[in-house]
Amino acid sequence: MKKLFLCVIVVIFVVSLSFLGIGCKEEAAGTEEAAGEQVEEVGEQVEEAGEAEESEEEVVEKVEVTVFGWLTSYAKPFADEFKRLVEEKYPNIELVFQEAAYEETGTQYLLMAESGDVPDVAYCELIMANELASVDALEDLSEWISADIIADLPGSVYDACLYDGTLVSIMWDISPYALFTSSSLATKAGYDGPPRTIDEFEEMVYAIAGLETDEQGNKIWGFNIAGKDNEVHIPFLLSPFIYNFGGNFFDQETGEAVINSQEVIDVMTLFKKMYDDGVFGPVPVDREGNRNLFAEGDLGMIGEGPWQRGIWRQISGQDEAFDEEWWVDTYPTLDGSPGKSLLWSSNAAIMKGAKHPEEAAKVIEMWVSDPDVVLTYNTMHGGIPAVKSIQDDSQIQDDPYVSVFVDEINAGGNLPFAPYATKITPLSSAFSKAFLDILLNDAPIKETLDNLNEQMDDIVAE
Amino acid sequence: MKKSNGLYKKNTSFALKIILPAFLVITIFMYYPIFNSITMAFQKIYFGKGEFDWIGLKNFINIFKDPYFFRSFSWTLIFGLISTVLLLIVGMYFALLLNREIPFKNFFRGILLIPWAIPWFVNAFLWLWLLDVQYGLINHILVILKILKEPINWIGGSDTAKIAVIMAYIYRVFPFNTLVYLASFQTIDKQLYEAAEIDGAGKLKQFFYVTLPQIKNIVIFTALLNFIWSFQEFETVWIITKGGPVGATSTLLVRLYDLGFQNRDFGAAAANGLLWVIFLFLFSIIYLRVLFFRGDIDN
Repeated sequence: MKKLFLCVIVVIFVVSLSFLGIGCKEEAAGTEEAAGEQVEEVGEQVEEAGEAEESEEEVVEKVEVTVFGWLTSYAKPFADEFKRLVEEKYPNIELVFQEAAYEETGTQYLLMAESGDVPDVAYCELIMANELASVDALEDLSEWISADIIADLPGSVYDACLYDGTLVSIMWDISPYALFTSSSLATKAGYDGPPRTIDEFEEMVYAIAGLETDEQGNKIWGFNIAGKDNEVHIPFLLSPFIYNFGGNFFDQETGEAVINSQEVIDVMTLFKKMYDDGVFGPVPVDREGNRNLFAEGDLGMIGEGPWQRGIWRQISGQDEAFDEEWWVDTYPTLDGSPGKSLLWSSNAAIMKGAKHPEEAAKVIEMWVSDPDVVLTYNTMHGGIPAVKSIQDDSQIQDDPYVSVFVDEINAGGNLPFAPYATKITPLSSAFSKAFLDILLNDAPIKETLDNLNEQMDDIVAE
Repeated sequence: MKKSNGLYKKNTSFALKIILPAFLVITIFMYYPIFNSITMAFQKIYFGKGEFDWIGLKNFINIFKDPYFFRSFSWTLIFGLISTVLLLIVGMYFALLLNREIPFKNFFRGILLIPWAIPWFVNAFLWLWLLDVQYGLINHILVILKILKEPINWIGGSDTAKIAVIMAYIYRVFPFNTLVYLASFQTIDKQLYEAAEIDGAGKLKQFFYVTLPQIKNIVIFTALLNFIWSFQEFETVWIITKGGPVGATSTLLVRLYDLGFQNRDFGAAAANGLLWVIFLFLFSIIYLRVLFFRGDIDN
């Protein structure tokens, strides 16, 4: 009975569809007859228009190129301008940004590599690029990027982008850290410029902290570095001091940890002394908290990258007027020469399995070497171009703010743990814990660094 | 007989069809991940490559070699015990307070739920700011009241960081306890209080000899829930201290996250997780068995 009922319904459905089809056809036939003459008359025009339409459709047919990363989270106006410039130059490309939180990006990329669902352009930092390259997830960019652009990269930049001799990512912005000094606090403390030597630095830290409190009664600190347990900030922000005392994390030749060297012991001794005297701190504090301290006029000195000018204009609420509140210079050294720094960079890469690698390469080429794009980023965020041709541009050469960071690049430096891309988090975590243990728990410096040295060797050997 | 068999079969098949979608969903999203994480505990996983090696018990052996595991384990237990006791006391105090006839009682009962209702990470950020060494309200008040000479760096010391985390956690969870106790008070027969009063029992005696025995089961179960929840606590610790300083406030879950998502050693993280679940399972069984054995739980 049920089957019969179902059959009847199916038959009714099919028959009604047929009638509907016939009706449509009849209607269409009538229309065709009526329009017949007109169609013939404009036949040629229609054909021509058709061809034009087809060619127009070909041009308009867009390829969606996805850019994954945290760019839009801190540089939305730049991202919008970048999109406009790319789409203007390549009308067949539609640039789509997929926002990710910076902290999660590294893990996200590895998950993507494992699942095969990857973006076209991966916005990453050098560590992430190396980590992805270590699992063979990145394309060799020398096969996709124009040889002219690659040749335009300074040798050191090109070398930094290699992983096992392959160009796995390309820098579009180099951001070395530099030392920012609160000009208002330093002036009150009797100084007219930033410190050049480590001795001057120490003296200024004590002098600024000696101002004691601000107008609201909040404590004034001389210097601080941000970072809690498990974060990369502590080793990264301390690295310029380690380099400029003559120390390092690993021996450049043997690859063995050298974090218990006398130079590093000296750095730790200095920071422990400053912490105990209440001029270095508050420890631990997160990065935003540290920036706020400086913006509120409660911190004398802080290490940050070129993006910081824009951030302070924003968080101080004073826009460009806040530029008068600080000086920026290269890190101090024992002899007063420009100090080495932490060389941070923003890179771009193409992941294996990207849907549109050809178009992705065009986007990356613009990101790295198109003067409009690169100089827009420089204007908005102070980033230093990676290619020589734009580094020579007057906008870069004549800006005293940017020139400090160019000096910092020339002074050299590195990313701590850079050769051990996949181990960077456990290495950073071990370092941060040792540093905080010395500062907060009075752990003996030599013994703690000896243990850290052993730990670092173990982590690398794993 | 034949007829009822047919009906049974028909009903069984209908029931299976109904259960199937839910079963599939649970299998895919629960049983499979559980099974997968158990197998991961015995693997070395090369994250990003989709490859792994079977390494037997090495992940478990490494856990026991890791000094931070024991630190995390002991702190998790201490955190669980202290927070459970404090939740009982604070929750009960507010429940008793709101059970009395006070003006705007319903308003206060509503207000009480706010910490429980707001997202947990918001609560953690709120406490992070309240405890700030430079601009935090808590330091400010304590200095004004001359309880402190100068602001404390709450998250800068091992002990103060522990206190900070416990305070933030208690603040978030106590409304649940209060609400449950408040509801259980309504089930107590008023005549018991009248009888106690006639016998000359004061408020304190009424509480210990009437109220507490009457809501004993509820108190035991909320305590068990609180203890288990404390093991699951992550947001408060992560946002306020990131498990620091120097691992002082790192719970097992923070350590697990640290191993898995920071160090990307998912095998070690899975082994940690497995140990954690086994411990919690054993603890719950022993706890309930002891209570049943002692007859503390009636049904």
